[in-house]
Amino acid sequence: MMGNASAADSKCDRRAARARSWIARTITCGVVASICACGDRNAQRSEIRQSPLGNALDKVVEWHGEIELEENEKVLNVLPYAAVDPHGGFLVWDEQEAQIRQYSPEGRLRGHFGRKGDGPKEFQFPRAAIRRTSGTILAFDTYARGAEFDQAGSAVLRTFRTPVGPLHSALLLDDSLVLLGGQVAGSSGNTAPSRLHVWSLGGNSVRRSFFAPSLPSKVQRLAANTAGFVSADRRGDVIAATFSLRDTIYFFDLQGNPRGQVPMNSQFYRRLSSESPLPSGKGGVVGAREWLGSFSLISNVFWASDDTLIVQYQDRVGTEPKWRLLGLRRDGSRLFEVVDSPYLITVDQANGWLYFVKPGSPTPNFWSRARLRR
Amino acid sequence: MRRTWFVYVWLLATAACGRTAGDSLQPGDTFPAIAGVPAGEGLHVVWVLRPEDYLKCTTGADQVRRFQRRYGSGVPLTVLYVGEHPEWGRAFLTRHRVNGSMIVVDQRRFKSTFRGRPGNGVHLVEGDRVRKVVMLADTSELAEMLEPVIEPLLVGRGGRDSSNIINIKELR
Repeated sequence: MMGNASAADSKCDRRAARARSWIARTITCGVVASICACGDRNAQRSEIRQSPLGNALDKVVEWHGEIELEENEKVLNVLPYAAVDPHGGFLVWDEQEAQIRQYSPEGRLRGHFGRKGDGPKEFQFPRAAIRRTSGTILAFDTYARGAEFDQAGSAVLRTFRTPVGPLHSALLLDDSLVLLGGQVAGSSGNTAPSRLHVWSLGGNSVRRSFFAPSLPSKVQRLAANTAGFVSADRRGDVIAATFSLRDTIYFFDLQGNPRGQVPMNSQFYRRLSSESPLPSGKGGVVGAREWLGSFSLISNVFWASDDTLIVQYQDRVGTEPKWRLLGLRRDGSRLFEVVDSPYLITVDQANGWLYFVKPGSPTPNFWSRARLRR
Repeated sequence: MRRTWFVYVWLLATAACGRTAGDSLQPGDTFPAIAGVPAGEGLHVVWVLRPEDYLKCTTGADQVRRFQRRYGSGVPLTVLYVGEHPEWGRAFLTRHRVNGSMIVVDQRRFKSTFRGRPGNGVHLVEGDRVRKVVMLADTSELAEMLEPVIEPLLVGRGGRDSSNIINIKELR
């Protein structure tokens, strides 16, 4: 694109590209900064409802001990996300500290790597870490880049770019394919963009893009640009996927072919309707944040070992997410719904463990381990 | 309609990553007495924080955290919170594991006291004297920028030792 343009055009193109990139980044910065919300069907400014059962999580799970993640002068858990490490323990990525950590099942710090920056061992906002069967670690930044590290995380084996940014989730399909959740950078306009992408590690290319929930109104497109979270989990050869603005679970096969969908049947999810108002220009950043809190956002879907689908969604109150958990059978029938849940960090599908931030803990380095009650 | 759409996008973009205004204080100035800040004779830092500063992607909290890990309680932090929704500010500081006290003032009072718009700056203050001002939007190295000023002052007070290094558990 740059090569056949005049110098002036090239400069203009670069400026335009930078401007587009800046706009895309700044809009999605809201996502990174946001991470929260929840509501009431068709309500434009509905109140957040409290569960009539109060905090009913104890009726849903049984607790099996706690884990304290080790910290030191270089490692502090600020906004950690985690996945169960097939080598044992957890891979933790912290977007605020731009760091990836390896923890033992008991919370002992085995190692850490990464810092803020744009270099090969640096991240802006790390978004996922995946252990390959070979033992190496794939680490993805939010903005269309990443690197593969050796088992210990001490050496960068290669860096790569992906077309997806901002990235919301990454799931290993096999040792050569990764399912990336997010929007292809630069895709915009009125056409609903695909949100899931099968990305080939070897070819460094997207094999297929799919899952394009429609966004019929401006207010929904704006919300999707700001907080278009995508989550996916896999059980066998079926993928379950969610999009932040849809109270529906979508199923696909590993090639991305649709395999049905079920409504979530939530009691408390607040849908952003097409008729909902746009944020008031008079409210500034505070008004924009209040608008973001006027509807719910689906954040994660997990597939538990007993086939229960666990959806974690949020209602934002100010800057803080209030977490809600919804348990569903595969046919969409509701098993439970809990408001004011502690944050569900990850689910170990193989062993049935659920890992929460310890209820009441002011910091996220204390976890509680639980199992769904039968 | 396209223009209206752009305005909304711009608003959210600004909400996400807006740049802060400048600060009127300079090294050598007296830090204006406001709501009990500054307090005491010692060396401390005052972080001026408004909703616009943390309702975006780059908040500066990571820099303040790194500073606190380096100097700990030896250089205590006061957050001078300017504007509405102080409860959001408290939640933000807790979530970002920033350790310090927070004092809330309204925008009008802050402006009249500081004679200018509040900026997202960290002020190193000794007693009531400003030693250095660092605007967080201008750097990613807060601790490194303050170090040349802090270290000699700490030496004069017996030096920085391990007692100044914050116990990470205190951040809880």
